[in-house]
Amino acid sequence: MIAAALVMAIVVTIAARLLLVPLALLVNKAPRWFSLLVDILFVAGAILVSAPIVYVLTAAGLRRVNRETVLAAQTLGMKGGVIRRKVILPQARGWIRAGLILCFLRAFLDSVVVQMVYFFMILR
Amino acid sequence: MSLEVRIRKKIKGGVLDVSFHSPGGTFALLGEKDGILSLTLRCIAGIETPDEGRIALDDTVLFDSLAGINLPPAKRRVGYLFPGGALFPTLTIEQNIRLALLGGGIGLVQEEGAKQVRPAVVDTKVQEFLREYHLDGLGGNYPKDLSLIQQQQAAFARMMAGNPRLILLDDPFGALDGYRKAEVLHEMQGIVEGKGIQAVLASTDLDEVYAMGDSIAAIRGGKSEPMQGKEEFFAHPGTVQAAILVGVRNIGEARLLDPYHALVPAWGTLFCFRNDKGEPVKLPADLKAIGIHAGDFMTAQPPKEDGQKVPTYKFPVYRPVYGETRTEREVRFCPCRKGEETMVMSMPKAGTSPVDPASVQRVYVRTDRILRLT
Repeated sequence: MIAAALVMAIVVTIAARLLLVPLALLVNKAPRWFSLLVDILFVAGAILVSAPIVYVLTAAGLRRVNRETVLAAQTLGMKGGVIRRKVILPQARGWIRAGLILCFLRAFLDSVVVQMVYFFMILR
Repeated sequence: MSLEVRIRKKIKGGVLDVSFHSPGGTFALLGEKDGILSLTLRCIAGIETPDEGRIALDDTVLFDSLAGINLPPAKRRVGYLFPGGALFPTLTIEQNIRLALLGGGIGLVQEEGAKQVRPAVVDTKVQEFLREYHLDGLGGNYPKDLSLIQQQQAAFARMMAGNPRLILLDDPFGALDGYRKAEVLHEMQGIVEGKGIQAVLASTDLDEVYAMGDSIAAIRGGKSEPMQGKEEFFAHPGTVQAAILVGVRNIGEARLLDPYHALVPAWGTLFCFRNDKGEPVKLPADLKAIGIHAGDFMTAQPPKEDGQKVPTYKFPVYRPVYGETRTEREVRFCPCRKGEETMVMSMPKAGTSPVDPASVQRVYVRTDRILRLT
């Protein structure tokens, strides 16, 4: 079941990427202002798609911070900024890092890979 | 140093209603594992806010609902030792202590007249703390690399580095095993007494409370009982709740027949207490039960004191069953021929031999050892 779902996810992802190739070709033939607009929309779309990943993983990381350590920091007289920097963020660091890596990979696939495929198609 | 606590807070399924006044030393709260003890300490530390009441430490009012005062935890200078220590897991022990020194403990490392703290002074102080709390050579370790006992010692050191005026110990020995527990308990007790710092211990363990507490109060069902001295609390708990927590094993519901007589139907016994002159003593109007410590039973009449017969109550023994625990011998018996209610008599194993239950026909309790519980 899990294997089937994984295969399905890979197939769908590849298909989605390939769908972007004709769009890129179309943009190349359009006027410059239009291609700029589409580029901006691409970036905005990538951010919209990636933001929830970062948000969800960061929220999950923050939820996993041991609440008692934050309370202990408060009773020890530490200020809010120090508590965030020294107690909360280091504990959530792994999750935030995972979100950023996923976000980067997604952005890389959405832009660079599509551009590369498009570039090779032009060359051919 | 004195701590005054009088707070009320609505909680799930009831009300937290705690009040006590600790004149100093270590005050112990004995309760059940229902989170009420922690909630009480958290209210004192400022982590939770009571609905109403007042908390004052010496002349400083930490919380007063009427005056609208509620100092944040960072300004209370109240140390809190969490059950698991709550050390910062991504920092070494040294860094944990350093942060506490630079937070609440800034007064310990800031030189007079200086605006900035010199790192060398902080380093020296950190090393002092590590030495004082037996953490030599462990400063560079992360909490996960330490044993439970070392983690608790480190958490205690960090709490003290915050330079608190009052320390709250929230079931600090719960995660430790028996031998280690005794070790840490004596160490903490020595430090608390040595520094003359006021402490509040919250625990569910009778031995911990007895060892550390100078005065004790029980909390049951969210409500605190009146504070008592240590010996008095264990020997003569005043209420049914306190008696249960203290471990009184024979508690019989009492029915007040008149101001001087109470009947415990389950034991088939009518109680009437007399003073030294032989006059009957008035029973509390809100008497709920009669309690007897299992260890207070005797198999024979006590010898005369000053030529006078010691007043006792006598209970017949039906269907006795002998049993043993690690430290005690026990005889369970029914005080009524046809009753179902059982009573427990216990005696220490040391210096006694196993009891033949058939040989026990009746047992005695000194009248002055019988508890009148409200």
